[in-house]
Amino acid sequence: MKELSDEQLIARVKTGDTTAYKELYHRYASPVLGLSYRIVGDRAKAEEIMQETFWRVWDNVDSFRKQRGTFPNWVFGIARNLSIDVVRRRKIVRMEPLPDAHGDYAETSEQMKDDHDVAEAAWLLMKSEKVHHAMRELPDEQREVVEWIYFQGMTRREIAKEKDIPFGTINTRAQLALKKLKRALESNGFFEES
Amino acid sequence: MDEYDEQIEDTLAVHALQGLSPEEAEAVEAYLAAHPEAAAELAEYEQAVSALGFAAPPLQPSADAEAALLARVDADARRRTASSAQTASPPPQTSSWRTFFSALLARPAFGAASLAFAAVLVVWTAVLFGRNSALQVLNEGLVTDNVQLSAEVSTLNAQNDALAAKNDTLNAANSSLENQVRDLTQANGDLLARVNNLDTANAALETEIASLLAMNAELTEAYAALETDTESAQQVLALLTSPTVEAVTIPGNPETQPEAQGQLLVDGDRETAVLVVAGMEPPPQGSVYQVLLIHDTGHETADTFVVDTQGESVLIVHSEQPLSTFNAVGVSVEPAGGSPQRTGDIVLLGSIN
Repeated sequence: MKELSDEQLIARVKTGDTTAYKELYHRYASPVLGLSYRIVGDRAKAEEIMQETFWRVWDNVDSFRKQRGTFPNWVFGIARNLSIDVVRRRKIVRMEPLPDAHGDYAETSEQMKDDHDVAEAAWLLMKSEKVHHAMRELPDEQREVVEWIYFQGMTRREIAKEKDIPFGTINTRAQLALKKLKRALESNGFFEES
Repeated sequence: MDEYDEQIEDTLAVHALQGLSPEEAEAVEAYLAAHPEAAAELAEYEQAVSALGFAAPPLQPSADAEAALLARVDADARRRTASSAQTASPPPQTSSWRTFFSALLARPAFGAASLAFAAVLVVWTAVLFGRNSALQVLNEGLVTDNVQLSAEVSTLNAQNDALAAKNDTLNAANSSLENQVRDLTQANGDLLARVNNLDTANAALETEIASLLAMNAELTEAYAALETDTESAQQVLALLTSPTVEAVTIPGNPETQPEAQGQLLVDGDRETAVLVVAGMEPPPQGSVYQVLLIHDTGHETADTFVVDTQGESVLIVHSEQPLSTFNAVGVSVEPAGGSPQRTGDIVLLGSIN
């Protein structure tokens, strides 16, 4: 089952195959929980969001269309939106620093080794570290725009108002950031492994 | 909307990050429908955004959260399966019996016999209904069993898939390890060959170093000898050029070596002199000649020497005191290496003053 692609698993889940669903869950539950925790900063709330995210994957799997993006894009999008909703309801915006490669990663790695498939955990940590490294390579002003929008749920309008940055500058920084991020991820083989 | 809109094009990256207001996002979506090249650009941005989900360190969900979610999904899957099974089952077939009774009651020749027959039919029908109900209950039980068995089959399939995946992973890891072992063995062989080559080169260098050390020792010895010779030559030269040098004749002992003769070039103020001998016999085996310096109260033994095949020799005689303090000089036969006191025959003897 593990050798099946995300799209093949999704096709099976659409027929009601719970085994395929569980494979998808085990493939993405950890990064989804990590993303939710990064945004809401509350472990219990992040687990609730993770559960709700995967329930929606099951319940709305027929609405998934490959043409509108990959499965990671879809599932992370659900988790991110649920997390941002929680943050907005609390009216608290967390500014979580990027984890240190030799601190948080090592701790997470140890935790995952305890009760998770080692190869899967290593695969996830490797992907996480590659994205983390690519993000670190971005100029500060470009990384900030990504942080504000994606991880803190700020709109362009809110950024312009709170940070006093023109729309055009925000647009340009977002474009440059995503292009550089994609190039860096392509060069470090991130997309090939998925 | 078909025209190129630079403002919307510029917002594609922010849209991929979901940073536009709902109204702005709606306008972008409408624009994308008519501009596939913009949709392609958005897809590029979305690929980068999809990676951001991995930016946070992954966290292992708690077992409770996982169990609750998967139980909910399993229950929903069973519910869906049962619902679709019920939808697919055929409807109860009672309409034919109703039709039969209606036809029977409508007949004009309907009498007592018919009524009795009808009563039997009613009882039979009741029995059949009862059996039908029992069969329906049985059928529902079978459907429930079927759902449970399907779930068990699904679980076993999942376990089987998981085991197959683990097997594949282990096979891959094993293959990788075998390759690593092969590579390491090859590297080890290469290193051993290099070490052997280095050992050989090292042994050759050690031999060369030993040879050079021996040569160095010989050269050091030769240099020391040359220094000694140079010093002796300087002493002889100084003696010969001294204005007060004298030549003293030392005759051979008539009883032992009457043919022998010596000459001592001496400067009384110095501690060195030059002795030239000729006509001497070779000293006996294991013996040398030794110079004697004789004064009023005794003598001192000095340098030793041998003679060549012609019975000749030249040597520098060293003393710890000026030679003017001695009255006579002689040569005696002594054991090899010389002697602190004279022990053998005197073969040359002469007065210094």
